[in-house]
Amino acid sequence: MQTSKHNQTAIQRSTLIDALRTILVDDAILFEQEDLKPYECDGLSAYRQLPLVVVLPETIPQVQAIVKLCQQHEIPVVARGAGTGLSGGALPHSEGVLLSLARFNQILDINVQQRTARVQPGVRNLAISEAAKKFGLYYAPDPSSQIACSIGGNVAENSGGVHCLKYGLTVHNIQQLKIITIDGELIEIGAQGLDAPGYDLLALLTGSEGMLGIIVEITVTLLPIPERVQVLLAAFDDVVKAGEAVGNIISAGIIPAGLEMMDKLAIQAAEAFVHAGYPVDAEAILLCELDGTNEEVSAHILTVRKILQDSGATEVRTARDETERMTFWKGRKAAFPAVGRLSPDYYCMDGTIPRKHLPRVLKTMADLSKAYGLPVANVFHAGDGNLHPLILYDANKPGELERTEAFGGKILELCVEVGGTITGEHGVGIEKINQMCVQFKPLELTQFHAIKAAFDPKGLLNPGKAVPTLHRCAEFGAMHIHHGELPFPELERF
Amino acid sequence: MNTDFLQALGKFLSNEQLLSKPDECWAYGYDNSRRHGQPGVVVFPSSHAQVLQIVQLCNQYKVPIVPRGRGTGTVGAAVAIENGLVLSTERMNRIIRTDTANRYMIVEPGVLNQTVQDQAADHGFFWPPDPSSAAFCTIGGNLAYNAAGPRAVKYGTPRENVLGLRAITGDGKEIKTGVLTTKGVVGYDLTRLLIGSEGSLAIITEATLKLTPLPEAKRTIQIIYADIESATQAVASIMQQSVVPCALEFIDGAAINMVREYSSVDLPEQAGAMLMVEVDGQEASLNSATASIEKAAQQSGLLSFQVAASQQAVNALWETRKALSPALRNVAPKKLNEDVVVPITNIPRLIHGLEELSSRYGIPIVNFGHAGNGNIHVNLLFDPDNEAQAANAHTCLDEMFTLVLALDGTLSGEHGVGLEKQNYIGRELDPVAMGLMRNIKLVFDPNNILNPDKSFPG
Ligand SMILES: Cc1cc2nc3c(=O)[nH]c(=O)nc-3n(C[C@H](O)[C@H](O)[C@H](O)COP(=O)(O)OP(=O)(O)OC[C@H]3O[C@@H](n4cnc5c(N)ncnc54)[C@H](O)[C@@H]3O)c2cc1C
Ligand SMILES: Cc1cc2nc3c(=O)[nH]c(=O)nc-3n(C[C@H](O)[C@H](O)[C@H](O)COP(=O)(O)OP(=O)(O)OC[C@H]3O[C@@H](n4cnc5c(N)ncnc54)[C@H](O)[C@@H]3O)c2cc1C
Repeated sequence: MQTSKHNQTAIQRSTLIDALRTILVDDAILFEQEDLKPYECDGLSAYRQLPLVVVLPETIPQVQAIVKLCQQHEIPVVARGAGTGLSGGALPHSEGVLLSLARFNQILDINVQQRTARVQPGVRNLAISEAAKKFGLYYAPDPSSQIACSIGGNVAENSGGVHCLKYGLTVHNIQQLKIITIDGELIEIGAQGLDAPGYDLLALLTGSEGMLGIIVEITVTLLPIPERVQVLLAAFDDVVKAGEAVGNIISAGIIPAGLEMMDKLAIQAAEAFVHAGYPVDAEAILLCELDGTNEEVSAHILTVRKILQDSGATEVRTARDETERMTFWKGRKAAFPAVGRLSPDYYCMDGTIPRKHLPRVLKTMADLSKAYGLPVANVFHAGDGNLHPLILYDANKPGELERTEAFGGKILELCVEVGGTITGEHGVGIEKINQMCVQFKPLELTQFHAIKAAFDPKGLLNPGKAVPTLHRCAEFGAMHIHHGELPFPELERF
Repeated sequence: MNTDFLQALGKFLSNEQLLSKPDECWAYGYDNSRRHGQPGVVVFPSSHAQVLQIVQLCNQYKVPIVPRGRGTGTVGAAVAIENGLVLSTERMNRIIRTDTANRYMIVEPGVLNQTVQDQAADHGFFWPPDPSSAAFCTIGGNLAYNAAGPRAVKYGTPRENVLGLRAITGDGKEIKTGVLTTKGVVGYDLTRLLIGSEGSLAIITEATLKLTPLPEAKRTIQIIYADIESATQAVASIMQQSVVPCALEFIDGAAINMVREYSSVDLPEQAGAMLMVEVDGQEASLNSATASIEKAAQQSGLLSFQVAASQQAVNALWETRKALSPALRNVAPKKLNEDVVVPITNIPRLIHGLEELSSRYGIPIVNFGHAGNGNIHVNLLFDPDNEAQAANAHTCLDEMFTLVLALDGTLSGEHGVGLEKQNYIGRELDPVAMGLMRNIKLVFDPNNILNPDKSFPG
C-alpha cells in the first residue's frame, strides 16, 4: 500500500487505450475530458479527480482482461458502483483506470426455495427487493440511498440502513461472492448456508472498499416480507431523555426493526420541508418500527409505548395506517435534504458509539456546538448508536470551514473515546483516513496492510484509500497538536 | 524438550501452570476425534500477558503451539503436535464484564459455553451459539470452529454473535479487533476472519460476545412425513414464510427405524422423516406463529402435526430425537459422524444418494441435523476394528464427500476441518482461494507456529 511507483512503469495513455480496445467495444472506453467528468467524484464531492480512463465492461472475461492488463503495466484500478459513497471510496486515481460496474446490472436468478438471489454488482439495491416482491420476499439492508446505490458498492462498504438493527449489515445478508483478484483470476468465495471450510474470505471482502478484489457477482439472502409493520412516534422535551429511552427499549429485550432519532433542528427542518406531522416544539423525537406477526406487533406496541412514556415522552403516537406510517418515515428520509435547506453547507458525519453513552455524547455534542458557534442537527440510527451529526456552516464565511472540520474531528474522537468507532456505515475511504490513526494502533494498521498485500502485493486496487500508511498517521498526530492546521483545508462539503 | 525453553517458561509460569512430564502431558494430547499426539509441554496461562510471553518464546525457540479449549472438537484441531506445546485456556475462565444496556459480555476464552448462558440468563439474555456440548466446551473452541447448534437457523453462528476479540497472533503481536457497537465498517473484518480459523492465525485471549434477549416463550412442534421429499418441501416452505423458527431439526427414515428398534418411542407405521420445529417470541404471538408453520407443513406426505401443550409434552416430542444418540452408540460405538451442508432443496438427493452408498458398501447410514440450514450429520455406522468394514467406510466416506460437493454443498457445517477433513478441502476450495488463505496464514503466523499442518493440506 505504499505510495505507488506507478509512474515509472506506466504506459502511455494512448497505448493503454489501444490495448483496452482489444478487450472492449469503443463505447465502453471513455477518455475525453467531458466523458470522464461524471466520474470525477462520488457522493463526497469535495474530492474530485479525473482518471486516465473509464471502462464499462459487461462480462466477467472483460473484467479479467482489464485487470490483467493493469496488473501487467502496474496501473491502479478503482472500482465504481453507483458512486453514491460518502467517503470518497470511488474517487478515481489520476494515473489509473476507473472500472465502472454499471453495465453489470442483471438479476441472474431468484431461488425462492433457497431464499436467495444471484445478482450482478451493478444492480441497484432496491431493484432486488422489487424483483423479489412477487415471491413475498425482500432484501433487508436498506441504505437510504437504496434507489441509487449498487449492491456491489453495498458489499464493498458493508452498508447498513434503517433496518440493520434487527436484520444486520450487508455481511449478514450475503452468502457467496464471485470476485476477480488483481491477477485476473475469478474465484468464488463463501458458501450457501452456514459456513465454508477455511478462512472467512467473504467477511474480509465485505467492507474492503474495493481494495482486495473486484466483485462481479453476489448471492444475497432474501427474507420473507413480515406480516405486519407498525411505527411509533414519541416526542421528548429533552434530548438526553430520548437517548435514555433508546437504552430502555433495547434493555427490555425488544429488537425493533428500526429505531431512529431526530433532534429539534432536524425535526423543524423536516417538518418545514415535507410536512410529516412532527411535533415541532419537541426537543427530540424517536421513530420506532416494529415488525412481525400481527399478534407479536400488537404486543410489542403496548410494551414500547409504556417504556417511552416511562422514559418521559411527552407524546406517543402510533401510525393509524400505512399512509401515516409512510408519512412518519418521509420526514426521516428527507431529513438530510431538509437540513440542507437551512444553511449553505453542511457536513455529515458518521460515527458509532455504544448505545449507553448516547445521552453523554449528545450532551457533549451540544456543548461543542456552542463552543464552535456552529449549529448541529442530529438525525441518526439510534438503536445502533450510529450517529449522523450534520454540522451547518457557510463555506463563504472565512474560518467557518476550518471550525467545522475541527468540530467534526472532535465528534469522531469523542466516539472513539467512549468505545465507539469512526464509521458506522459510510466507510473510511479518503475522508476518515486520518481518524483511522486514532482508532487503531500502528500494529493493527500494519496487520491491515499485510492483509492487503496478501491479496494485492503491488497495491494496485484502489490505492491510498481506507487504510492510512503509518507515515500518514504521524502527520495527523502532528497536525493534531497544532490546532487549526487541519487536514484538507481545501475541503468543501456536499 | 529443549531445557532452555522450559526454563524460560518457568520464569513466568508457576509449577501448576506448566506440565512437562510425559504422563501428565498425555491427557492433553487428544481430542474427541480420538487421535493423539504426545505434547512436549502443556501450559496453563492465566492472562493475556502470559499468552503473549509464551507465543513470543515459542517463536524464539520455534516450538509449535496447539491452542486448546476442552478438547471436545470432533475433527482433531486440538490434537497435540509431537513434542510441541499445548496451550490450554483452562485458567483463563473469567467473565470480565456483562453490560446489558449495550448487550454484550466480555469473557476470557476458557469460559464454558454453559457458564456464559447461565450468567446471561440471570440478566434475561442468552448467547445464541448452542452446540450440544455446551456444558463441556469453551468459548475459545466455539469461536475457533465457528461452532453452532439448532438455534443458528434463527440467530446465526458465532460470526454473527461476536462483536470483537483480543488475540495474540502467531508471530506474537497483540491485536484487538471489532467494536463494542453492533455497527462499524472500519478496516478489514478481522473478527470474522479469526472466527473459524481453528487456532491457526491467532490465540484468542478475550471475546466480546453479543447478547440476545431471551424470548418470552417457546413452542415445540413435531411433524412426521411419509417420505423425505415431503419433509424437505416442508422445510423449504417453512423457511419461506415470515416466522423464522429457532430450531428446525430433522431425522431421516433410517434414523427413525433405529429409534423404533432401540427404544419404546411410538411413531406412525409409515414414518419416513421427522421434523422438530420450535418457534419463540412473545407468548401472544405464538398461536399465529404455530398456525403459520402448520400451513407451511401441509405437504402430500404429512402424517402428523403435533404441538406440545405442556412441558411434559415438549419432552415427549423430543424423545425420539433424544433416543437417537444412545441408539446409535448402541449399534456402532465408533461410528463416524460427518457434518456436511447442502442447499435445502438438495436434501432429498443427498439422502437418496446416501441410501445408495449404504446398500452398496453394506454400511448402515443414518442422518439427522439442522435442516433449516441444510446442515446434515451423516453417521456411518461401522466398526473400525473390522478391517474390511473399515476399508469400505473409507471409500464410502470419500464418495460421500464427492456427492456433497456435486450437490453444491460444503464439507463442514460446524465441526471444522482439523485433521479429519484436511485432505478433502482441496476438492471444495479453488486453488486461487487456497493461495490467498495461505498468504493470510503467513501474515499472521510467518513462522508457522500455530497449529501447523492442520486445516490445510501441507
Ligand atoms: C443520500 C445518501 C444516503 C445514504 N445513506 C446510506 C445509509 O443509510 N447507509 C449506508 O450504509 N450508506 C449510505 N450512503 C452511502 C452509500 O450509498 C453506500 O456506501 C453505498 O453502499 C455505495 O454504493 P455505490 O454503488 O454508490 O458505491 P460507490 O460509491 O460507487 O463505491 C463505494 C466503494 O465500493 C467500491 N466498489 C464499488 N463497486 C465495487 C465492486 N463491484 N467491487 C469492488 N469494489 C467496489 C468502490 O471502489 C468504493 O470504494 C448514502 C449515500 C447517499 C448519497
Ligand atoms: C457430545 C458432543 C456434542 C457436540 N455437539 C456439537 C454441536 O452441536 N455443534 C458443534 O458445532 N459442535 C459440537 N461438538 C464439537 C465441539 O464441542 C465444538 O466444536 C466446540 O466448539 C469445541 O470446543 P472446545 O473448547 O472443546 O475446543 P477444542 O476441541 O479444545 O479446540 C477446538 C479448536 O479450537 C482451537 N482453540 C481453542 N481455544 C482457542 C483459543 N483461545 N484461541 C484460538 N484457538 C483456540 C483449538 O486449537 C482447536 O483448533 C460436539 C462435541 C461433543 C463431544
